[in-house]
Amino acid sequence: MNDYLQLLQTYFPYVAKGATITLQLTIVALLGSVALGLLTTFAKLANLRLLRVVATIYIELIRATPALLQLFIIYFGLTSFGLRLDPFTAASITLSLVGGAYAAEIFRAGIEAVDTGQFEAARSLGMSTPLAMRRIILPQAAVIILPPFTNFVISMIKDTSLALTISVPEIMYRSYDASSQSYRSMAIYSMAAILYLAICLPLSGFAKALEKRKASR
Amino acid sequence: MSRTILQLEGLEMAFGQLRVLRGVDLEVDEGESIAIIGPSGSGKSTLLRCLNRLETPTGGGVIFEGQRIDARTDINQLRTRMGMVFQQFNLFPHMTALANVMEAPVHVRRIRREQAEAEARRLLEKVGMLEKADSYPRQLSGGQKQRVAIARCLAMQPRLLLLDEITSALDPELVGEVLDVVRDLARQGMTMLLVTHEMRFAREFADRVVFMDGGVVVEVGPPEEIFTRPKSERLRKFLTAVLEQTT
Ligand SMILES: Nc1ncnc2c1ncn2[C@@H]1O[C@H](COP(=O)(O)OP(=O)(O)OP(=O)(O)O)[C@@H](O)[C@H]1O
Ligand SMILES: [Mg+2]
Repeated sequence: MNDYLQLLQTYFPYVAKGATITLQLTIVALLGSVALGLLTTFAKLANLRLLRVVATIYIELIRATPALLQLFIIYFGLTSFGLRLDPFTAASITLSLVGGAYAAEIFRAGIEAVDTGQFEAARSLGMSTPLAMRRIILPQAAVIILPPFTNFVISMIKDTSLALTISVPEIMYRSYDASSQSYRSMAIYSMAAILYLAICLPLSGFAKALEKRKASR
Repeated sequence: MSRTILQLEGLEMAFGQLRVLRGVDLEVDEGESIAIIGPSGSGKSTLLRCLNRLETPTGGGVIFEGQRIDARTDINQLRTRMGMVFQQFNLFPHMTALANVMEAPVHVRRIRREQAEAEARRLLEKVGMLEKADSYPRQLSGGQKQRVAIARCLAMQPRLLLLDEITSALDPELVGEVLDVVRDLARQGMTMLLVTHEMRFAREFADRVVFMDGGVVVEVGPPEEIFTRPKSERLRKFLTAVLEQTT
């Protein structure tokens, strides 16, 4: 027991510091995902065929390949073109690209779930398409999107652990490092688990509460 | 002599191979109340939707307030002059009744909020919904929702109202309150095209009744003639069928 406390004392601050990096990476990747996701959604809804095709190709490419492969292409692959990204940047870009494709699907489903009569009513009052989107469709879509989007945030937090493979010092990287130094894998990885749980469980509860509220309406 | 406000010249609409409107001709005078009747699938809704360009007609012409509607017409501007009320109300669920009515005046006509609110309250009062100004659509009955939807439409000061089976989604006991509002509007000289299955209301309300079948106007005339002296076999059959249904 004493021994465990000492282990905690030595390694917990080190591993916990990784949580800051995990969260930073999550936030940057989420911002990137939302921006890319919105662009892709509007491209998919656009009148211009070319835009729709580009958006579809992007989504399909991302969804049909493992995120780890995309990360390696961005971090190692691009060096063949003389592009050397630092690990945090490479991880941010990859997770934004992955997230953008999934977020686009969530956004599109949300927009399509809004009754078409809403759009027709808005248009029949003389609203332009962008105005109808902004004032009528998106506010309703946002309510529909929120629960699946919260789940998406949770997967994003867990996916940042991929960055371990390119030495971004987030939670997983540090626990791997600490366990190989201390030979106490179980104890160290339990610390990591507790950190992930502490971040993700409240979010998951939030998503459940949202879904319940929606169902009871 | 009253002025023609709307003129349809051989209006056609096809969805792929399906020809839904096959040349509709009709002239509507300012202030006229027109009831459109006809069997299901005859193209009544499609006709209204073509008028305010929710569908783009595939042939023929529409002249509204002296202007031919074509590719150069500003459709958003056209729609502000032609209000549409839907069977399913389509109120904006994330806004109160008052906000629903104010939305287009503030964001499309760009009038000041205070002025829009005063105007919206006046319209809600007109349809008997002022006490519910701060309620959300989900807190209203069907008849109340439809009255708010009419007020929302009137807030754009349209010159023509298109009403598509606006009482069909209502419980029978709520139909009257909505029809009262429509009757009032007719009395005040609003030009209206009203698609309806309520034959009794069509008869009492309309200046002229249009009978559509198979994508064309088969007969037009004053209610007395249409309902008591139908000329065509098709109208006679339709009226018999409808009478059997309601009795
Ligand atoms: N967007 C569309 N795409 C394809 N077909 C359509 C579309 N809208 C309407 N139709 C078809 O056009 C025909 C006429 O429809 P419309 O809704 O105008 O009839 P209606 O007279 O209003 O009938 P009801 O009394 O049942 O409302 C129907 O056969 C319908 O299936
Ligand atoms: Mg119809």
